[in-house]
Amino acid sequence: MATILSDVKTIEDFVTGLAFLGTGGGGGRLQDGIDLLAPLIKAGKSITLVSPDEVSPDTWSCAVASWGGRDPDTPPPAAELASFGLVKEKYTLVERMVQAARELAEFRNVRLGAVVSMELGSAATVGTILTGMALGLPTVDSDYVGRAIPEAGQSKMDIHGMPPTPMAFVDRWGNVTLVKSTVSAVMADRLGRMISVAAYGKGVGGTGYLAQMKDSKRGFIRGSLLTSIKVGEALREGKGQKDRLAPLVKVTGGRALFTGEAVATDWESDEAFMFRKFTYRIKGTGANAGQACRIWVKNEHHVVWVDERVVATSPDIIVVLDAATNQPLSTRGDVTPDRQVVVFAMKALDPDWHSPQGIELLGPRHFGFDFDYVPFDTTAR
Amino acid sequence: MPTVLSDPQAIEDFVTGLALLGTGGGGGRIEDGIELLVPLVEGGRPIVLLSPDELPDDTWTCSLSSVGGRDPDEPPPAAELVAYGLTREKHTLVGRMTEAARELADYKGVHLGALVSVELGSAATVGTILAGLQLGLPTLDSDYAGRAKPEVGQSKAAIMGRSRAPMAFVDRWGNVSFVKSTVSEEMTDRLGRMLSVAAYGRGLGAAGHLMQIGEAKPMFIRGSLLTAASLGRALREGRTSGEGLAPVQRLMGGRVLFEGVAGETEWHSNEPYMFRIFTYHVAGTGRFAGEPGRVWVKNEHHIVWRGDRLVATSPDLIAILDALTLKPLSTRGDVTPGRRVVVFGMPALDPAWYTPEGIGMIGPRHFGFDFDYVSMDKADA
Repeated sequence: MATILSDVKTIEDFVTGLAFLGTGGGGGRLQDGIDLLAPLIKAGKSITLVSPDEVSPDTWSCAVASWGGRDPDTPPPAAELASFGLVKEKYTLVERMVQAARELAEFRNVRLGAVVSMELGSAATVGTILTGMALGLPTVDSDYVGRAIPEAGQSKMDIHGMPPTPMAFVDRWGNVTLVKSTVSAVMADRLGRMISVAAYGKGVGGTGYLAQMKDSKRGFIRGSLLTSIKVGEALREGKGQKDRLAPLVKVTGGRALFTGEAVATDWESDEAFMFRKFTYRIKGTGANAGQACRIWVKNEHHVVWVDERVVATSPDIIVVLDAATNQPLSTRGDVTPDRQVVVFAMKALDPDWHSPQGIELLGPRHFGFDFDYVPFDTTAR
Repeated sequence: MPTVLSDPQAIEDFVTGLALLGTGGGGGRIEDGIELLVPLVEGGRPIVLLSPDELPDDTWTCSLSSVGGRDPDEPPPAAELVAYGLTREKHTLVGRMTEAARELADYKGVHLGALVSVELGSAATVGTILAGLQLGLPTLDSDYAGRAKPEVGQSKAAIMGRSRAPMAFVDRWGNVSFVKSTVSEEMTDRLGRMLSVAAYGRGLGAAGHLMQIGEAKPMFIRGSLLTAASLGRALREGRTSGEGLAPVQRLMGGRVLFEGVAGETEWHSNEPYMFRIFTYHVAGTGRFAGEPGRVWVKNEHHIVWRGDRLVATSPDLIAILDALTLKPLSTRGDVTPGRRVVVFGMPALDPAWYTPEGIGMIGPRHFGFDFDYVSMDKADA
């Protein structure tokens, strides 16, 4: 049955849960997603999420996401932009996603019947929903990852051998580029990133995984958007309780790995428009006093060490929460020195992620580390 | 009437003339073009160039070129290429151009009847002819620039307001992208270059200007390939007869702008995969003894100074020839210190270049200089 989201509290829970499952990434800060959706709800609009089973098997859908990376601190010189005719921004981020969906459908000459969030994340998923609303299309209560990911090609569609191409990319100036076919999904990601560089960043609307429901179903993490609402509820309910994380543990089956105070962020790669790669350093407090925690980030959180021991890795879901408010913190500057944080982990939402292909796509070796995936449960002390 | 090049001498003259009109660029060295075409004519396959008037006006054509820039001295680490699945090169440069033509026609659902070289240059034009042989399509005795030029958007078609997009790009690995529409020709060029960066360079095959001959005709520099053949023959005759550049001048007008010994090359931009931007320094000899000459290069030669006096700029055609052999020298390392060279200027092949739009597109102000185009005659007064 379709789920209708029509009150602000549900929206806040939903976006909070998306930020949690976004494991630090997913395209933006928590508040950005709320700020985009809440006014619509207040204006009397509602958001419809449909179950994949409610849509006919031959319905075409595409995944919608925004492409980009770390924008440079200073914008490019206006004269440089002008020399490329980049004078007036034509589209908002959501409009870029809308145009990218239109362009992809036109390229393949199909009529879209639904949109699918590429991944879970406050900006990524909310952007997809807004894209659907602009196109008059429902959003499917499913996504292709069950979390946020740094690169295209790390999805359940890829695990099942369905490529993201053809893809359509629309930048803020209105330039339209289509990537028809590539030798690998990571290459499609690389092309998307270079298209973003060409546009001087700030996010390119990207669409891909164009498929009929009967095929795309295999790649769905089913019900993941409703799961996000439940996670958000649990985080909110925990706020007033003595054990703030109790409802979350109940809903997710996960647990706190570390409690401490953020110390520093050691940047590894800061290249404009590319990935945000760095390591957080966190000093233990309470039960973890005297211990040191590190979290390695490529847009999202992927590896957690306590002292020198690896205690959790992707594909499991690793989250940094504000210790006082339970707010999931993004990798976009939310983990400031001295902030009291809790590092929390839960199993990936879909068992496919624990298959050899899933671990290869998103485990530590994929990111260049010389060790295997560590199931965090077994490291419990 | 079609022009038929059927013996190695005719090929050599043709490619030499293309290099002269390529004003230092056009994608490669003379030898490359000769080595590709001579075996074909020796094997009994003449090169046939058709006049646009020999084909019906509704014949579909596209332009072909290779896009790329200065490749870095060191190839990227093999592990980096492997991470993107870039392990096996699928297409030669001509193969990429062939595929780009196929992809563009397939994208727009048209049947091509002829190819057009986007510019004149030993690699660009020869590559178009070879792609035509692969596809079973004739190449027209016309191009869109009448010279080589550094950027996608510099052509008679652009002067007449026709965008080169949609364009198809195919890299050496087999990745296929389309730039569908852009806000400017400069942006089309920039996107193509970024797609080249994504593929780690070495040239992308690019197809654009998808038009029927009837629409394209006014944008052609007509007969330019035959002109190249005549100029190559004139250079050869000048060399063997001892007349020097006189036979070329009889065909084209033009004058010697400077003679001297090449000194250092002063690099301004050496960014991998992007433009080759530098200044040649030449010490005058003979009637120019004691004078320093300079030639400013962005892939091609664009500005010549004698001392501090400006003597020629694009859109006029500026060539650098070996003083002894009259061989046109490319900007790919041919002008080595100590080499005796002649800097020769000729008028552009088409009056469209001398309109305000033409001068705006390729004159000195386009390249960021704070002065106007000077006609060679006035400059030399």
